[in-house]
Amino acid sequence: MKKDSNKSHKLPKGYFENFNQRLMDRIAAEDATTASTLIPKTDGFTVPEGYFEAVQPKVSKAVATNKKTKVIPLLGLKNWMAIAASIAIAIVTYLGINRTNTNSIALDSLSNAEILAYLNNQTDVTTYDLAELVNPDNINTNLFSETQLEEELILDYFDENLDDLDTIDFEYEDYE
Amino acid sequence: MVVEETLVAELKNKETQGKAFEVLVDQYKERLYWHIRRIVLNHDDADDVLQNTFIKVYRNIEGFKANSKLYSWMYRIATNESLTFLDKKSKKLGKSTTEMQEYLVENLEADVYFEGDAIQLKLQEALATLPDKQKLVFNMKYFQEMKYEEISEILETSVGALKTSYHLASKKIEAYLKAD
Repeated sequence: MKKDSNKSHKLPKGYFENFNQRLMDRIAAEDATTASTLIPKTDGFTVPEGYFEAVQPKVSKAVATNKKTKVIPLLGLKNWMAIAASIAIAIVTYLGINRTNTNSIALDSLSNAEILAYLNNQTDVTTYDLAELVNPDNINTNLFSETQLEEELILDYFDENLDDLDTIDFEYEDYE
Repeated sequence: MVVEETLVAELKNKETQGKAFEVLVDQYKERLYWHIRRIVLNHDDADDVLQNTFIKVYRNIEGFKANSKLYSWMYRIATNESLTFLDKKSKKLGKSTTEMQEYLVENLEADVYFEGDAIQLKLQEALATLPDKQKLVFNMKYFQEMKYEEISEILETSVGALKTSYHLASKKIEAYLKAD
């Protein structure tokens, strides 16, 4: 037995040495008691009869089907990206020419980035408004084959405009 | 039960892959199903996510470098697949994460594969109020009876942080169940 130096209270030997452990044990025991009385042991979920027996064939079939599914390669998407971008460039160019006629600002003095930034700020201009201004005859179809897009631009485009990146098959190399 | 190293080697070998994959599915289907089900709640959704999980495992087994256990790796894929699934579903339905959780619990009452009583339904309501991580830890510890070390490897979180999450989750659930 240990005695308090000031008052004559006694303590069991080793009382403070294992205090932390006893405290943690008590918290754990308290957690277990409360949990066992309040939180139900099961959560009430069930599965259809024979479900787990049917998983194996279903998964094998899904794997086989998945193997046969045509994967759309990222590179293949460049074509429609090029088309979309070409149309956008044609619209920008057309608008730029029109503005040059009326405002006497030389189009050459503006970079594409400046034009795009300007259009982005015109929040009341919709794509329908832009489409109405375009005469299909004026679209230079050569742009489709001549415009080379940076891969980074394509990825930025996906990032900003595609909600579901999983629709493009990246071969899932992100695991492991 | 097939030793993990042997199974992984067989899965990577084109000649033994098919048979080994069948063994893998049989070995893990139930555990992974219940893990997924407790995240997505609905049976049909859990079935879809389980299949997707196995497809991803099959397609990525070549890249599995055994830095973690196969079991933990598969659980990690199942967790990611389940959360991604819910994310897509909520976007499709135009719901926020919180609204989505409430919606899932509301639908449980009409679910033929949920036979829970009032307390079990209230437990799901309580779980729906928790952050994803706390809910995952609670389900894995309380219902799946996993060790903290196993959960730590799957969720890549320290054991100490997991204990705190579990304690917080338990307290919140108790408070919810005690309230009227």
